[in-house]
Amino acid sequence: MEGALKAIDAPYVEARFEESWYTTIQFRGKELDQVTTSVERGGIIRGFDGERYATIVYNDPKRLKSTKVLRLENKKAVKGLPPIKVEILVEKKRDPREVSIDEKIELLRSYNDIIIKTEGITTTQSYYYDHFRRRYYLNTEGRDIIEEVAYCGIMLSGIAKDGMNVQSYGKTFGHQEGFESLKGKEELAEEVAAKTLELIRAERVESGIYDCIIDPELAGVFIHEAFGHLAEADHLYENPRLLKIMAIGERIGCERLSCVDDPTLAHKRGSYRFDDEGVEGKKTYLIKEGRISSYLHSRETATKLGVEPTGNGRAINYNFAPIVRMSNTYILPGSASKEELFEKLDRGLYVCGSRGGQTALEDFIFAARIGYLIENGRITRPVREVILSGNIFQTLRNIVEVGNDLVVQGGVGGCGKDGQAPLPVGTGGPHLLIKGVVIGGR
Amino acid sequence: MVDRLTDAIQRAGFEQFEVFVEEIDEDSIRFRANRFHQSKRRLRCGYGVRVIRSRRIGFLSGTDPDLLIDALPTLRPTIETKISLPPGQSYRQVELHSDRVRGYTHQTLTGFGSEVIDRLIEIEPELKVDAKVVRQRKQITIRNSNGLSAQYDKLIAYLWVEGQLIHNNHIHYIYDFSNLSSGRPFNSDQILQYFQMVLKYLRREIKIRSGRYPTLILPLALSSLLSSLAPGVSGKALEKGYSPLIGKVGERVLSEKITIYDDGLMPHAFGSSPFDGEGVPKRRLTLFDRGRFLQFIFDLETGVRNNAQSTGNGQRRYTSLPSPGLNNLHILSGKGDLGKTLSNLKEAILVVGVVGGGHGNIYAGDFSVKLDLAFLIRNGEILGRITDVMMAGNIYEMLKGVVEIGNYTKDLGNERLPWILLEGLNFATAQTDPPPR
Repeated sequence: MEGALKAIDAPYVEARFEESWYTTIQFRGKELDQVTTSVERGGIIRGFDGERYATIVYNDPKRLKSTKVLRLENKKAVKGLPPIKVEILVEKKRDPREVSIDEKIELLRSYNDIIIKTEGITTTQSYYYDHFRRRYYLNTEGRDIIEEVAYCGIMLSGIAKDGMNVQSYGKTFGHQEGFESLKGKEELAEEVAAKTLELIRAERVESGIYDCIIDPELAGVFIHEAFGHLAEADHLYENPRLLKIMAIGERIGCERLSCVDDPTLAHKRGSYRFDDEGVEGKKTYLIKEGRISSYLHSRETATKLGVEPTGNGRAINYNFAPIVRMSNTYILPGSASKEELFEKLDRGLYVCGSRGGQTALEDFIFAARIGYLIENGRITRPVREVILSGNIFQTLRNIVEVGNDLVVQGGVGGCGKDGQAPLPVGTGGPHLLIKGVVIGGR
Repeated sequence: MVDRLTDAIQRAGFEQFEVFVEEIDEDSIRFRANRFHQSKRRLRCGYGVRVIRSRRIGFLSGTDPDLLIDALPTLRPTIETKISLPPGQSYRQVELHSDRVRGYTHQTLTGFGSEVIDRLIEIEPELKVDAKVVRQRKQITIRNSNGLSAQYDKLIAYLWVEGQLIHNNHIHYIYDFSNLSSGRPFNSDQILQYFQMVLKYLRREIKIRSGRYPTLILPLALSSLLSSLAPGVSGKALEKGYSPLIGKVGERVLSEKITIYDDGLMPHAFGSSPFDGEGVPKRRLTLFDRGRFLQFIFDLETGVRNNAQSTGNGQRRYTSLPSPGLNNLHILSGKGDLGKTLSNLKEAILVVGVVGGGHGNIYAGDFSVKLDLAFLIRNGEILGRITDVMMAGNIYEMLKGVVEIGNYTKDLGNERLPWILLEGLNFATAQTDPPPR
């Protein structure tokens, strides 16, 4: 590792080397469709001169030795952190490599069987994924960090077909809590089967403007997609006009709305101790009582904006340089119960689950798994193709009530940005009541 | 390394085996907010090992052959299969190289990015431009127990540019892509003209009412919507019974103006190569001929399971088993002249970019996207940019309603797409007031 730091001649150089073990298992219908195991070793070296980066990615250290030294010509001083030497290891009980492949296949098969044996289900897509990573980090400041992370999770999907109409419903779960935490989820497999059948009978939602109650899973994806990405300072630091729109202290929502990013939550999907720049992660308030409180930073963006880094410089693996990313991002719970939220909505939509989302800074779109019409204060019937979109500033202002039932969601998959996907993140929130959401449908 | 790995697998006594090796040597330059930001070199190499014993597959992958050799004794085939790995054979030559691209240095790539950025900020000083210029050499090697030993080298290069403009406290994005792989002299004029056209109308914001409008979709936006088409033509979806195209082979399911190819041999396209991820020759397939659905795409496994042959669509990285995937999607261009067509539109939406393609129910071909960049056209004139609007539909229904197709295709790397004019699509907006007259 010390030798790797010499591959680039710059005022600041860091090297990351990773060893990763992966397992994936997939059932499609009744059949076992994929079982793969993988062992990856690779590194990345990055030099910085205060303005520009030079980066080398490699698998074979011998090829690195034959590459000529890259030089950055500016020699600006880079603000640094003190030296540190630390080792963070995963306990054996959370290491998925300790579990046999047969046990993993059988657990997934048991959930898959529940779905495929349900009458009306055409096929399934059930997926298991685990990943153990040991990361060695070293930089010219003398920060020497070894950190292990172990994750395992499952995604269950049912698919039903009726002529040209094909519907699917999925549920994903899993954090850094070990293989045992994936057991006993039969009720989720039953839910997947039942909701798939509800969807195949459901009509498309009529497009229009709806007042919506969104469930905790969707609330988490909403805050991640809609506000979290906007608070990533790499979009902001070179753009004074955008910084003005996103000014710290600016009112952005009601006083009941607060949101944090927190990699220090114990063993969640997006948790870590140090980011990929050797900076310790910490809990950061993005929105506090309705006002913008902080941005998320890498070393570079923090230096440019004259603040301390927040420990959000992350990369999906050694193939990529770190960029500003979220960890576990969630809306803090309010005081209203779910029932109280429903009492406030006479006509609208109850929107549940997430198929994912996307943003173009202030514009966002995200897809729910299923929706239910609320008429005269009661849930009446399911609807499909519920896709929510809007302008984030307008939509945050339209959150009128915050529930008290926070859930932080993990699962297979993650966040995508600048070609780096999926990055493990946690997303969460309680039930939310939002006025005037644009829903695309028929 | 490949020899040692192959020998070790041979000794392990599997009935069939295959070694897939992927080597990448890539240089890239990134610009951020109009300035050079990063240079990057990637030197990657990975190995995928597929073995078959008693009609069951086992798979292992990694970056270090020694670790894979050590792991071979624990590799236990579990997935049922009936495939036979292909024998050694000769392949068609495909244009995958340009000497000019081979000669591009860091300075050349930096020069392309700088040229585009300098010209863009000259026409619009408030633009903040990010750009990425990439040149990648990829070498793929496949060996198997049936005597196949094949290799190809390919070279691709591209430029991606994205401009950000803030107007009236709204953030606007304009982006474009240029495939540089053929080595034709780089010309930034097209990117410039495209940005000029968009910038001319960007600052005028127009609201529309929800409803159905004739719609002209430009290639970059069409590309996002087409992500709903790929799952339907996959042999996996046929095998598992969830493709909406089951039972439709030979039927007209799209407008007769639409012909769609999957062309794995297209010169300098990102998805081109002599053979696919399991050594089967690639070819040009006609998926839809004048609206008529002709065929699904298969890899070896889905081919056998559907009583068909692989179509050369076994896609993979070294980290995964093959599965059916499109090589290069090509929609045949038509006769439409963009300027003339726009001038004949009474009231329509011009869709330039969308957000959220692939997030709807893609199995059924449904999409529901937010308009990222779109304009209202009235009486042949672009009136201004429309905001806060969603567009929803179904890819099969949408392509049934095509009334005109552009007379050129845009090269998007692994797609060649024209613009299309549709008789109508549904738009939803928060606007309740009548639109301006």
